Amino acid sequence: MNDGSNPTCPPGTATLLEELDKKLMVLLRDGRTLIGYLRSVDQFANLVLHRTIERIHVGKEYGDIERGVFIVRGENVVLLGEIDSEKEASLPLKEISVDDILAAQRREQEAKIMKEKIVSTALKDRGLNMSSELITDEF
Amino acid sequence: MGQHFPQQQQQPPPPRPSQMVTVRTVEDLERDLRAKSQAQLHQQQHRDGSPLRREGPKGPMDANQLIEMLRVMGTMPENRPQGPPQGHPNPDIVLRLAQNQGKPMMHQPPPPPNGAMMLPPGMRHPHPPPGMHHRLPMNMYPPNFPPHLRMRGEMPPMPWMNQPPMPMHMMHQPPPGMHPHHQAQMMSQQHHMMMQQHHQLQQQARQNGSHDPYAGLMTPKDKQWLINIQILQLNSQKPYVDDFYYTAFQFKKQRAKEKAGERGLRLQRREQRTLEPRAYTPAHFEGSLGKLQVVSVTAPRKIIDMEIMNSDSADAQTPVRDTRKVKQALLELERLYILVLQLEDLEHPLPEAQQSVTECKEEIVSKILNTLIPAAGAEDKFPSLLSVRKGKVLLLRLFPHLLYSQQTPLWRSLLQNFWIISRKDVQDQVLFEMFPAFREWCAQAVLPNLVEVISVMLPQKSEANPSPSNITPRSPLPAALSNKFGVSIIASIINRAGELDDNSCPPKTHPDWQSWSQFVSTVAEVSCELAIEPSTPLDPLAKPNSLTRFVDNKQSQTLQRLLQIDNKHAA
Repeated sequence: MNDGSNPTCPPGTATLLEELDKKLMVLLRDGRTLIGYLRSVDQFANLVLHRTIERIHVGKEYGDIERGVFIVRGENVVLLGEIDSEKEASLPLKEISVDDILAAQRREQEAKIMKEKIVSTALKDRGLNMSSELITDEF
Repeated sequence: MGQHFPQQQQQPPPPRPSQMVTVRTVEDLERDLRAKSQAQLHQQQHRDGSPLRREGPKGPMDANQLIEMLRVMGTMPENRPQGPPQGHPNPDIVLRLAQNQGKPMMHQPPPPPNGAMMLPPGMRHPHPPPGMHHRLPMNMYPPNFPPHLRMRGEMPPMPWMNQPPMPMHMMHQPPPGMHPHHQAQMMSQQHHMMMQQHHQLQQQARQNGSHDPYAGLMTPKDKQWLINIQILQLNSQKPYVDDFYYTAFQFKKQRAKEKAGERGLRLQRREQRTLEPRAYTPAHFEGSLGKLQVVSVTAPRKIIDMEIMNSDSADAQTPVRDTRKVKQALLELERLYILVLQLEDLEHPLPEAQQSVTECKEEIVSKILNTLIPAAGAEDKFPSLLSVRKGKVLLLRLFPHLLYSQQTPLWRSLLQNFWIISRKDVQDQVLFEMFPAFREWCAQAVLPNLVEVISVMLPQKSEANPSPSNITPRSPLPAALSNKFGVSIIASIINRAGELDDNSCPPKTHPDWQSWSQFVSTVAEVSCELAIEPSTPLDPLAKPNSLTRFVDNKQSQTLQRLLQIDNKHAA
């Protein structure tokens, strides 16, 4: 019935089918970074990620959290890219434990909030009102 | 799952009672496997003495094991509708395999993700014919087959199944009313497909040296389905419009090929799979409060248009009104550009490009000119449009399509608003590119045309259209003279007038000449009053004598100096 070989895409089109079974890094809209094997896609670019880890970066350190199988709704993906296994093995960053990285992340968040407070009070003093709802930075 | 199919009944009633009873679900099997896999692992380790591979069969596989597995899962088909012409798993093969058991196999593929039957490379689907059962009245179990399991008809945790087989998602529950016979056929087909596909992937993976037991979850059939959806979305009756970049690129490639000499095929299109267009009627719900949205592939949800308010440093200085004006101008330009693109498409070599334009040239041109040249009393958008680089480029692209008479008012408007336009052009420097077009226009000009154009530069002259807009009422002449482009325009006009004068058309008594002399004297005056050094024209004035008729000597000299008349060219 079928010859077992993968069907080819029409010329001039892009597809996620070539990324199947590859180790990918996926960046989500809420800022999370997931690394996992792409097992399945569909027409909305929903992804099924297998053996996924969530990697949190703080400065030069990072921590991995095991997550297992993810199903990601396509609209929440910002970008994805293939992970180079050689480069992955020789990262210039330092890996630390999950608790440590979460603590570091919390500290970073708090520092950011404080800085934002200072900036907004300074602006208010000068008569400029900057609403934080308008700023939709996820990073 | 795990039901027994009729072919089972064709066997001679085996001595074991297990086969009649067992209805084991896949989940049960997996559970048992998982529970016992560890034990089996250790056993195998001790037996072989060879280093365990991370995932892979731990012992040689056995046709009997496979057959047994299939039997338990109840998927032994009675007849196989298609597939490679296989022999039956001849007793020879079975025996050979049994013999191999003692020797470690060289290369063993990892367990399949779907728990389907595993085959040593090259072996076909062992399909014992019904007759086989007669020949083997006694079920042949591998020596390792735990006897106690035999009773319950369970499958032993195969050493090579140290990772639990994936739930057989492929083998979904068949529809309830289905004949068990057909079920068997379906199952067998799926099995066969999965095996073949997996087999191929295994071979590839083996070549890579990597072993990914979860690979190949998407079958080629799934992939083909996705690709079909993509192809459907690419369907179009007018690819030049809908898929411009791809079409234009293919066209370019084809042209290059033709230039290189090969007579290629005609423009290759993507394969079209057209469905009849169905008028979309949104689903209607009775008795619901408010409007419910039903989203489907053909009718996706509408996203709210969000507008982000930015306040970066550049805009902070200029008032907000200005940026809004610029945006409005840009929007208007977008509209005009579409019309200009249609004009250009009319002359595109691709026939479908020409067909994509529904209106005729005159209609499109008139639409464009309606915007650029204001009607009586209407607001003049010309200066705002031309202040942007895009607007100037639009004019450039538009000129080749315009008739002579249509260009004249545009030039007039350009000169009229020269202050604003030249000021905004400092960065863009696009005006110079318009000069060749102007030169062409000028070369064909007759005096009335020239007078019409220069009329905007004469001071205190009541304009034909007193525009209520906020353009500066002062003459654009100083701006024109201080700008290189402006000076070039004026020089060309004077040149042309000189030619017309020489040829005496119209005759010298024509009232237009009065306007002309007024103009020339004005130019001379203004150039004297200019504080800054005027720029030099691109085309130096050829015939100085023409000026003397209109101005006195002193002014003529000034003009000559201004317009860099080369004495050598004096006629």
